Amino acid sequence: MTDSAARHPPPIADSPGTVSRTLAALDLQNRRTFLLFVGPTVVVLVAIIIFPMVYSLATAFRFSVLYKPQASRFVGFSNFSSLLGSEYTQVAFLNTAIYTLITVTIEMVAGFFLALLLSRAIYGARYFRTALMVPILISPIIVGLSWRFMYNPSIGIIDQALSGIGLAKINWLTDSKIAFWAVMVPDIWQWTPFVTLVLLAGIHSISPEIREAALLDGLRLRHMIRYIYLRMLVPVIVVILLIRFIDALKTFDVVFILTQGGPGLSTMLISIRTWTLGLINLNMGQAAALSYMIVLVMSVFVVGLLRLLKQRVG
Amino acid sequence: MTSSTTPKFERWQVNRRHLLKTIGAGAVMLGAAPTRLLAADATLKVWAASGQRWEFANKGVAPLFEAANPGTSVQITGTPIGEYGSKVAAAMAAGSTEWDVIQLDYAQLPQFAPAGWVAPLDQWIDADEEYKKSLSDIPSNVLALYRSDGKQYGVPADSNAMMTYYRADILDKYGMKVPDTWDEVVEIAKELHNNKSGIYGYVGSLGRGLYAYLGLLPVIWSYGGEIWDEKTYEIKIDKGDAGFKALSVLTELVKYGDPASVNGTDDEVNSSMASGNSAMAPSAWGNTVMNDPKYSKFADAIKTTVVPAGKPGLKVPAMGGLGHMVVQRSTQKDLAWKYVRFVTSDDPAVGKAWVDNTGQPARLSFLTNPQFVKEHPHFPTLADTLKVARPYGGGLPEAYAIADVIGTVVSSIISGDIAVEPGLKKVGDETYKFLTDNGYSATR
Repeated sequence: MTDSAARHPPPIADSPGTVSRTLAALDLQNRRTFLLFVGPTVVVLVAIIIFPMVYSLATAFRFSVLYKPQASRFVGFSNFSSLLGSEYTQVAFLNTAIYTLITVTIEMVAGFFLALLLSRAIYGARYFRTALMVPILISPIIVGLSWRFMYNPSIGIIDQALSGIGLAKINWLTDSKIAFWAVMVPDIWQWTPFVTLVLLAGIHSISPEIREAALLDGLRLRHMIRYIYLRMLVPVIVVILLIRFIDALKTFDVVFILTQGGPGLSTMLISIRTWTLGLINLNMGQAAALSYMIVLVMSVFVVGLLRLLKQRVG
Repeated sequence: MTSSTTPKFERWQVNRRHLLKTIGAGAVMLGAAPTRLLAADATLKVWAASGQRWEFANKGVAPLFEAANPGTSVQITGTPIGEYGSKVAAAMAAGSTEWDVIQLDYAQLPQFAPAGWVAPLDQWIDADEEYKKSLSDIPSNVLALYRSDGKQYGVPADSNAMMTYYRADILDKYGMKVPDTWDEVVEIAKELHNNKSGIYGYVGSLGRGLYAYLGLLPVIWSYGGEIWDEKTYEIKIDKGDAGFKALSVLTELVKYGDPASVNGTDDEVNSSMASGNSAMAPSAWGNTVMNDPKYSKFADAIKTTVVPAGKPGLKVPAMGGLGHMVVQRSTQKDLAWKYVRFVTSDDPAVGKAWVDNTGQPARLSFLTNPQFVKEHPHFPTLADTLKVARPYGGGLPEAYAIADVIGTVVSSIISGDIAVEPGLKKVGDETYKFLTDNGYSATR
């Protein structure tokens, strides 16, 4: 390698097609070095991401039950059609859609107003902001177990408190009419702070001049929210929506620990259904098919949101 | 940039001294490794469900096996019971040669035996007359759980069945007698609820899926009913009145019992009884928790009896238990068998190690051994219960899958989402659909 080559390394590939161009531009020794550094990463990515994805996609089109290896065969879209025809899957999809819509909406609204509040000069806001981190840092398993104890009608703090003020105890997780709403609370509790903190950072990034100008123009708070904050925070909101929607659609741990999808099908989510198909029924074909159906739904949503983001930012 | 301003990590390198230091540290760590592992000529890998009854019990017996077989080391790995079965199945399906012995739920044998994942034990059993004779100590219906297609694939060191746990002091206090029928269980639950004793008269594990399915079995069987006929695959739950009675009993019990029952697993039952919240768990799995003063201050007051009857005298609990099996792909099957033989032997020292380490034996001589009974007062009840208990799953490889389907509808019924009568029809319809979808010639 010449001194000048060492001092001026070739540009890093940052767009499609530049990898091959970069390789072509390199001399033999540099090309070897490049492949030596990039090669292992590519191998690892193929081994742990690309191969499992392709393999599971192929499994989705096969009859693949772990304990019937001899019966494994290609069945086309049969796994998908039987899943779509199943009441359990339909309920799970519907529940997941409602769960996602409600939890994310509440988290966004509550998170926005909390962020707005914390953006003001409030005594102790600094400590409150730190405290907000706590729920985010707790593992979902622990969140699930804690809320299971809190919801327990005999020993749980919530029903104890209700009894203390003379109200009747509520069977939060065992009454199928209440359980679905009760399992949303831990999610909202855990993730509203995340929305708050990210929006707070967004609010702080709005130039003070803009806010001052708006105030001089005599804008009221609701107008400030509508014309300043919401408009300027669109990119941040879209990113939060993206993260939270994907997370909420995948929710498993907390709900599984709280109710295992019961009573009946009242808290059955698509992730719990997938778990049942894969790890109880050992039907890998159907579990893979359902996973890809979830991926499809998520992809449609993500593409939609990204387009919105592109339009707004553009 | 001078060396003094270069960050430390930029200057980091491995020189000869570093290399020697690393090798030295490695040697010290190797020296500190358990000497028994290094000295072992052979290492036997045993995979069991984690915690009480399984992992701990195996770990209690393993040192005796190692002492009896110098040069052999036993490594026991525990996996939580909820994921153990599927993980073992996944490992076997992937052709793993890592494991020598597994301790498997009998309900999974119809998956494992036809798939060729476990080895038949008959060649070893037949060659060992003394051991073969000693197997008569294990109830024949328990031993039969591990037989498939005429071959013996496992021998149980562990056994279990549902039994009634009750608080003798509470029943005495309110002048109630130990219930003999499900109707009496409902009466007790109702009375304790109505007299505002602050204690529930019932707790059960009726969580959606497997638990609710298992919760239904001892009740419907005791009324002489079936969900489906295990030989003809005829759907029977909505024929006759047994299904209706069984689901009505469960619905009533949930109304007056500990609300945690609706999503309940064994944990809810054990904690509700151990903490004194409930006075009765009429179909709880045998366990070493409730009678243990370490876990419950009511341990002495908690007694056991065989599950209640539906029809007079008809008591039919569901059977549990995990048996030891030799993995077909093990590269040391003879040694694996040696361990299975040892852990399931009638040697009282092995039995003591098993029981002392939370094991629940399958041998009647152990279950009735006065020394063991003193430690675990529910053992004699378990011995009585095993005689009348029935296996669940109907011998289907899809046992867990069908349990999930049935248990989901049962959960909807007991939580009041569906009334008992239409619920019964739904259980029948779902069972029929499941069986026909899986290639069984079910009839409605």
